Amino acid sequence: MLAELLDEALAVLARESPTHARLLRERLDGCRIAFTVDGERMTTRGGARVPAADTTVDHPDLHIDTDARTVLALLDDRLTLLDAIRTGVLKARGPRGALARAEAAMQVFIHGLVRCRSAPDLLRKFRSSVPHIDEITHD
Amino acid sequence: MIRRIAVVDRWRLDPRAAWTRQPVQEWHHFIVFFAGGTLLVNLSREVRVDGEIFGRAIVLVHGHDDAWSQDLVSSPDPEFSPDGLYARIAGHQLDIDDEGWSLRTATRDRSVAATLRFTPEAPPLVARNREVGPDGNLHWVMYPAATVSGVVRAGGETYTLDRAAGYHDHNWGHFAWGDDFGWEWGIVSPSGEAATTVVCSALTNRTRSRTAIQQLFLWSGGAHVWTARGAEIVRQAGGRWSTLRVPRLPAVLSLATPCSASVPPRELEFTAVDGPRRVDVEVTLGARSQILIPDDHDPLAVVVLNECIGTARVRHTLHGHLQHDGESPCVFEVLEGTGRAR
Repeated sequence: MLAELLDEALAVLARESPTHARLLRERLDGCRIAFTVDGERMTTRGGARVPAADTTVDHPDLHIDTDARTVLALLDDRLTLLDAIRTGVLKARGPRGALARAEAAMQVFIHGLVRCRSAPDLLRKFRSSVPHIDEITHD
Repeated sequence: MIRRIAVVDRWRLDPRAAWTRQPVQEWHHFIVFFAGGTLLVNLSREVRVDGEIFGRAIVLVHGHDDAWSQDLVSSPDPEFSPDGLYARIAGHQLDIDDEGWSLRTATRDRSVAATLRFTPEAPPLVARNREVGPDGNLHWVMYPAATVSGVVRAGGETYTLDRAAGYHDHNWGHFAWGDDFGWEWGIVSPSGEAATTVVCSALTNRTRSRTAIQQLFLWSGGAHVWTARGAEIVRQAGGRWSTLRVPRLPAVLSLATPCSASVPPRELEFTAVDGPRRVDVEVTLGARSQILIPDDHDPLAVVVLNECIGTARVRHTLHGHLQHDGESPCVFEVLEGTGRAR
């Protein structure tokens, strides 16, 4: 489900804001990032999702492990990235350089999506996929 | 003189002119000072350079408990009637007629909902063709002393409004967000027997280091009695905010812009003098929220609109005789283009 949404978001970015799609590739420079969200694993390489059957990314440069509630709290600005890492609800494993590239790429990704006319629909889909549990907030 | 709103204040719905590279921007802005706090609603329409039309609705409530409730929703298919008297943007609805404005708005989480009728108490002030940036223009119709009736639900309470103090303005023009301009604008709500009302306005460059136009408008007894300009106004700014982290819209952009260089002053003082007339305004801002607008020129930058809530004391004298001395709620807005992600 989340992998499909990620595919859709990357396709929207490529179609509706190609400048940001290009910047995303440049920022990642081939960096392989594996995401595990609520146990669902997906991998990207240079800003494109890698099919699950592709075994060439068994050793990603960066592994991010979190849950959908945390992602939603980050998107809603109820939680900062720093607090998510500090409190352990988002774990990032990998060298510092890969982490910096991933953060820069995430900023490009967000800046691009907010400029896309299809972005509100994507966020709505993601929001509806997250079961409503007690909210995560930061002080 | 006050009426004919349907003519003066209808949506202009300008198409994008082929001869300009600039997008078309237009918005209707509403403020209500009510028992539970301050409500701001902004409904806007943008025609981008590629011809795409976007609608946007912003709702902000700052409660007296210092809590913000807010929402921003964009719509790729806003509805506008051809006569410019009706707009529906993602469920937010504005009807304009000759007597006033009817507004229905709500946040998506339904923490705020309002059905309101704005009625002007003074004729509009109209400012046409302000230059913004190198190739832009902005038109402004302002109804500073409106009264508002209706219902606001916010903070878990329902407030019935009967002629509460309100403000409305309407702006439209050709410019891109990120052009070399900014502004500082504020409304001090009516107070005293004469319903003394002040609007402070300045157009600046992008970083607010230069001021192109500075004005202070004064209303008393339902009439616009003075516009102070330029050298007639002395402005001082100071004060510090206790935190740099503030609520933002759209919330998701906070993730991409964790730090912003846009920090407005917390205290402002304006002294305007012209012959026998003098107005002193002391503004103390207590809360702020930021609206982050994607920069049209820089793919990784935003323009920051600070919405600040506070109180202001206005002292008005004429020939040395005190006309008004009172304190009332205010809203100040500071726009600047220094919010590059970093």
